[in-house]
Amino acid sequence: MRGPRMSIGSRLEHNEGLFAFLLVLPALLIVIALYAYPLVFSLVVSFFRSDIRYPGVEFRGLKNYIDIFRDPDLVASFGRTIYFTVASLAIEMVVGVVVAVAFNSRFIGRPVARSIILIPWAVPPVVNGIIWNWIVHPKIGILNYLLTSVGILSRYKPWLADPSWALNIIVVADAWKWTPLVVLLVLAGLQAIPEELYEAARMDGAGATKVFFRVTLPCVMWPILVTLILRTVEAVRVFDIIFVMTRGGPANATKVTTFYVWEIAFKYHQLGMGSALAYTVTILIIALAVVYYRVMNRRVEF
Amino acid sequence: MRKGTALLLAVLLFLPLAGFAGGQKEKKAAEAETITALFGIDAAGKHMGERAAEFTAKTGIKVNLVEVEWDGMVNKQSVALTANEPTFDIVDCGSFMLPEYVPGGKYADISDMFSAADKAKFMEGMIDAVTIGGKVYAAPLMASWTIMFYNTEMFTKAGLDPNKPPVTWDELVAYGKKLQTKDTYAYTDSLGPGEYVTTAYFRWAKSAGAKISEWRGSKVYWLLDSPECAQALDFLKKMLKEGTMDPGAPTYVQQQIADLFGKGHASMFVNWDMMQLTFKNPEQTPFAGKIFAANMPGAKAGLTGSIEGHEYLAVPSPSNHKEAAKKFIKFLQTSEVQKKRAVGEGMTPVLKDLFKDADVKKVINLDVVFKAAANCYYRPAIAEYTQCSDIISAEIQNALVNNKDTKQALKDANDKCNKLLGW
Repeated sequence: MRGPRMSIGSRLEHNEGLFAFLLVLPALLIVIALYAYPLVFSLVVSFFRSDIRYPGVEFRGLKNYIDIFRDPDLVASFGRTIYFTVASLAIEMVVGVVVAVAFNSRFIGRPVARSIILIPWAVPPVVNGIIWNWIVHPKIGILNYLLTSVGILSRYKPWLADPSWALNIIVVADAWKWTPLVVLLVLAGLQAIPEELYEAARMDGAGATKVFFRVTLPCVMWPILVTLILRTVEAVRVFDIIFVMTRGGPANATKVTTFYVWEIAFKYHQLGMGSALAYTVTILIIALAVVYYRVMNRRVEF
Repeated sequence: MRKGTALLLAVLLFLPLAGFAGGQKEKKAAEAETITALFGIDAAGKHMGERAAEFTAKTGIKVNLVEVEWDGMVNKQSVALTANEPTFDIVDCGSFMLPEYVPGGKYADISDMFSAADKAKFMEGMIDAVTIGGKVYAAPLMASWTIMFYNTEMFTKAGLDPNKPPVTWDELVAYGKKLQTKDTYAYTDSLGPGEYVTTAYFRWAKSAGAKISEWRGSKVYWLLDSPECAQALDFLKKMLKEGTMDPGAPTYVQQQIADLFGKGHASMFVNWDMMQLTFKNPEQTPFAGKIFAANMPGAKAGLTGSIEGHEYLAVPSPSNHKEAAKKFIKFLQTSEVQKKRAVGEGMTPVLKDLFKDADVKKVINLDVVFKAAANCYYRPAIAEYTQCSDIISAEIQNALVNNKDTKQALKDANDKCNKLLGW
């Protein structure tokens, strides 16, 4: 015995789940086509030799992944990537929190200062690289001009031609761009801290330092955690600023892992190997995010 | 019913998109044929848009020009060819790039563009360089070699004869001592990472009389650890150390040094021969007319070095407009267009007849260019060339920034490159 047939409209009226799914479906299809499909496809490719220089593909299993760790240049690039990530994040977090705390207190011109600090963040990474290239230019850079003017340097220095300086300058350039993001997120966290907490701490006799470490910092741990994860993902996959400023030189001193991903996949046409390296970077990012989450989560529970 | 309305709205929102896609197809069918040509900015020159407009007026075929700097052009091409997409109908290339794309069938066979009589019109060896297995895969657009440029005004101020550029390395250093000031270097070069430093090094090695590589059977064998190669690298280091060469050179790309030289930051530099006309233009440099061309100095008298950088045009296999693309290439190869490019932009023509043309001779110092051609190094046409170039680049820079000594750097470069090629 079949019951009375329901129209599509009636079914939708009664089935919230189906209705929600249908509404989400177009967006879901776009996400699958533009995001999930390439992700899965590149994962599959990472197990093959796929190289337009040679016709045909060949299944290699995990050999592409193993070869990554057999190549001393690639292993060294992981070291540079980690150095870049740690150094730029350290600058961004310390400077970002200090500036956010300063901007949280009242002073004349605060709204203007808060707006100005965001400008570097609005600058596209490529433009940021070009700006810093001019700043440190060996012939016409303002950094050389200032240092020679005050007598620190006797002659202009080619900063980016020196392997010991090149990566550090990129770190500073990157930190200059991204510190405003940290300021913005931490400042939002600071503004949400109830004034009563500060009053209670002061009544208990806590000084400014203690208030900062016992009240302020724990309260902004969540924004800091979110910022750390976001910035780690960005820093590990840094490419554009390095391409613009040094193209990986001098002598590979600024060649981070993602630079090799680009080189291997698009310059050498080894898509399989390039995809394997890209996935290795992804695994590194996920591992770092999990570590952050666990460490910070433990501290945040107060 | 409200839910049904919401769903209907969602569907309706997508309909225009579908309609737009369909409409685009119909529109395309009705439009005139359009080809998309990808050029490096050097090969395109400043007036490619005008040439394209002339071609459209003649044939009705529209040309969509994409002009980017060399690295960007190679990247765009690589992505389109890897994806097998008909993004481009014409792509700019060097003969050394063919082994990367021809075996995988990415460049179309365009042999039908060249009869025996046609081939004879081109400069010797130009068609052979892009012929694989008897089939032609690219068409010559522009001949090019590197030559030296020097600023005669600076020479005169330093008490040097403006008509006597240095012909040996010793002279270069001696001249340098007179030319360099606190703000000016005697010489600058593009020793930036990648192909820049590699090609620069090749011409210096060539000017030391080095044999950089050789064919052994069907494979290339690198000879980077030869005494001549070491001599060239030591000389580059010496120039950097003594201040003859701008210490920023390991960061510079070709366009940067052209700008710096044009502004008077250096007295001598090496670049592509097409720059000859640029340095005659007062809008480009305050030293217009005072910059002369010469051949690169050699390790000893009689030696000089250069590198070949001819520009070719290929038709990607996925192109849907191959015949129209070939027509445009043919147009660019006509004597009329080649002469316009030579006289108006300083680009060395690919047609032999134009070397006798008085107007062309006025713009291009053919004596210098041909001497460079006779002493140039041809980058080996192998599928792994780009990888080898990056290996060599890193090791040369290792030596230049004193991470490694000369012999070790060259030995490492040689071993890695030969290993990559299966030796």
